[in-house]
Amino acid sequence: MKRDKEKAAITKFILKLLMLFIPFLIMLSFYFKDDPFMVLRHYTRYDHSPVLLNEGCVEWQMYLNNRDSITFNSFIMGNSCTMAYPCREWEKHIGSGRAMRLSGPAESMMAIYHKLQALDKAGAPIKNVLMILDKESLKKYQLKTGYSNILPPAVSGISNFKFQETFCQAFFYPKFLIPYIDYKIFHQYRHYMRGIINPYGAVRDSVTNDVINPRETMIKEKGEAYWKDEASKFENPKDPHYRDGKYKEAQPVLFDNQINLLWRIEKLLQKHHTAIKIIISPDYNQICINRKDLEMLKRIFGAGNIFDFSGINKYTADIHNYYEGGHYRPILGTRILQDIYRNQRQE
Amino acid sequence: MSFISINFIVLFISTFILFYTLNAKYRKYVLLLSSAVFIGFYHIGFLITAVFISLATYYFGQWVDASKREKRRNCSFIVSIGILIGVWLAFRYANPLMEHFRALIGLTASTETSHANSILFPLGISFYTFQAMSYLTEIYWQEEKPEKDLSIFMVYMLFFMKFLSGPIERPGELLPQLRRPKPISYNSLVYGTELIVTGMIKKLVLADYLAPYLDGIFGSIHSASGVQLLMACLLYPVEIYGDFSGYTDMALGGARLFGLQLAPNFNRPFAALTTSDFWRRWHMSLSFWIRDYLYLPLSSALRRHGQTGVFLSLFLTFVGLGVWHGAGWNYVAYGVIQGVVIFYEMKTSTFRKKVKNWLGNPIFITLSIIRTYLIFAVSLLFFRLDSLSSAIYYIKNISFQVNTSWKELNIGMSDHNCIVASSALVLILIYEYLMSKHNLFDLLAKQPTWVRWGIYYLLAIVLFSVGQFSSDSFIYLQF
Repeated sequence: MKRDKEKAAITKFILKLLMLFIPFLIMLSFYFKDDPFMVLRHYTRYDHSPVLLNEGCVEWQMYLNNRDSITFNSFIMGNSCTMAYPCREWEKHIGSGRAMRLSGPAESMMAIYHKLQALDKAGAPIKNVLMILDKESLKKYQLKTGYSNILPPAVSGISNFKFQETFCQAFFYPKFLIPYIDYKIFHQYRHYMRGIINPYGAVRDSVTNDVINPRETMIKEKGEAYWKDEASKFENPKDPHYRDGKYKEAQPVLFDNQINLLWRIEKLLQKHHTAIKIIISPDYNQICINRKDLEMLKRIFGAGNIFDFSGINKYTADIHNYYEGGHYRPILGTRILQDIYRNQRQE
Repeated sequence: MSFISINFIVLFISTFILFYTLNAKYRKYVLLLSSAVFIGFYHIGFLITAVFISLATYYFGQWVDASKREKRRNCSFIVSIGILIGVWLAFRYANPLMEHFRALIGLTASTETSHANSILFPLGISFYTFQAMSYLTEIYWQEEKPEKDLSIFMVYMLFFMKFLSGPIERPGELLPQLRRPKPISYNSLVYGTELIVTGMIKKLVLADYLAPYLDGIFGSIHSASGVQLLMACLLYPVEIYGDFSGYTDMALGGARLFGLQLAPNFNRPFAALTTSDFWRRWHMSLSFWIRDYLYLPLSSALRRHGQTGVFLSLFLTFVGLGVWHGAGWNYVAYGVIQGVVIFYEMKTSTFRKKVKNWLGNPIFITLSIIRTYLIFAVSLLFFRLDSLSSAIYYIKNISFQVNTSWKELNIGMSDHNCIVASSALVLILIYEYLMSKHNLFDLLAKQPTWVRWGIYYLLAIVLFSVGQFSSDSFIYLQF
């Protein structure tokens, strides 16, 4: 009698537990079928996804897909401002180098170090490195763990399970799931989907991973009106860092952790006799990198390899060089490359 | 294997299925087998050590009980306890002693050789050794009879849901449940599941959100700013509470699913008004063990010495508490601080009553809670940092000074993580306050189906979407 009651209790409990988990199991099956983040299976191309993909995963997979046919030996690394430096423009200055972009949004120095380590482990010749940094990227010395920033196991060293679990979990997060389901059903991009859904089609070159920026198309179509429409993304008089023509210097960001990491990067580059160029991005707010940080960078990587474009100068003067306050255009990046390599040739 | 791992989920589900499909007389063997798999999964040496100590305790219990004459009884008890303590101390202090010895004879080993020659500290040994000592002491005091059934006793010692970090179970609580198990009810199964979910939220949504940032600060105290040191000091008790009480809730909930009720370990510790009150609410199974088996006998033995005797009893008790946590002067300091503060509270109780009358109840309670929390937070620095000098350096450098900007207050946490962790903390505190007034789980059971299932789905969504499943370790695993 007691045993029957117990059996009934267990059966009722298990059935209710199953009922609770059924919706999640159904969603999980959709996740495995659709693979929205393109991490469950191997793909030959990653440039046409409706979902904004993890840059680190995509570019590493692209490198692996192409490295047998193209011997990449030159790498553009750093934060999203690398979009201003097309590989084909850089290749004009580096002789026989074949370049690829390996960067990420708000990339940390630790991510750069791990990518270099992964290239080293993969047997890649690292002949040239162009690093695009600013004080924010120099400050960050830890890997990010969110689904949009996590690096693949071959680069970061985390387990495959943890890597996949991050994306699986991100799928269930309402901030992702709701826009994704909305877009899957109605195939219509809405403003709230920004940062989740990609409405522009191809946003990267399928070989070099160069950014195909839809804002260049907008600028071509709108002309001067583009900067009038985007004015709010440039102006912020309440911000104490807002460009006011006065010299401003940022607080130092390089402390023990960051400096140790930079030395480790330098050691790795030394091993490959890499020609390194570090560009401190021309900040639209015209705030100079801290002088002590600059000196430290020069000490570690060599004074001739550090190029500081921050502060008030001809590069940061013209609004037309920028998409918005945080990112500048390839016309500026190309100009910067011409200037630094011209100076180098003159030396 | 951690409670939050695929391996454990597979083990738990397999155990659950076997437990309820096989004949009831085999249930203790199912639990024993699962416990062996659980312990042996980490390292076979841990299983061998645990089985050896459990078997030794089983036979010691019979030996103590069989010794009828007082002298012989005392002797058998002292020898048994001595062996248990000796084994525990040997494991606890073997590595530090070996390092001291090497340093004395001028032998400097590389880090790799040091690791290779170091002795593994068996998982859970502090917990099951104290449980064994509790068992023997109860037999010695003739409060309990020794367990005759070896398999039941082994489950009592090795049960996998409490093996890693307790609770430290009294024989009078757990053994009767194992001897005469009651049929499980549906409500018990639901209650156990609710406890597991509560524990997972504490661990995955609170503790594990704070952990990486606090670890970053504690790992680089010399480069952190004063305000970062301050924030880490204030937040660490929250992290450790989320971690440990989360583990405990999962342990209690999991045990419930097998029809076993384990002892609670926490009772709203951050509502404590004094440090002595705090230790009646924090890690209760350990603090009550220390009170019943160390403090009370000591204070009884030293009662002739009046206030000095009381102070000595407290001092030795809390030094013992500190030493239980680790081999190092920082752990001793952690224990000493508790003892000194409790003694101070005993001596100033009259003064504090006057202050309470002067300030009024609400203000006095608020200030007392803050004071108790801050004392615990500062004492935890000795627990967290690896040396006395680091802890002293840390305390000296706590300030409102920043390196670059006031954003350092968030110790590197993104806005999203701050919001998630803060919300989790507030909800947990509200949940615990309400639980102290009513049994929320019973209240929930009385709600309409749509309310109950709405809450279940909400909790599942929260866990799935924001839980930090990538961390699989618990802070108290190291003991």
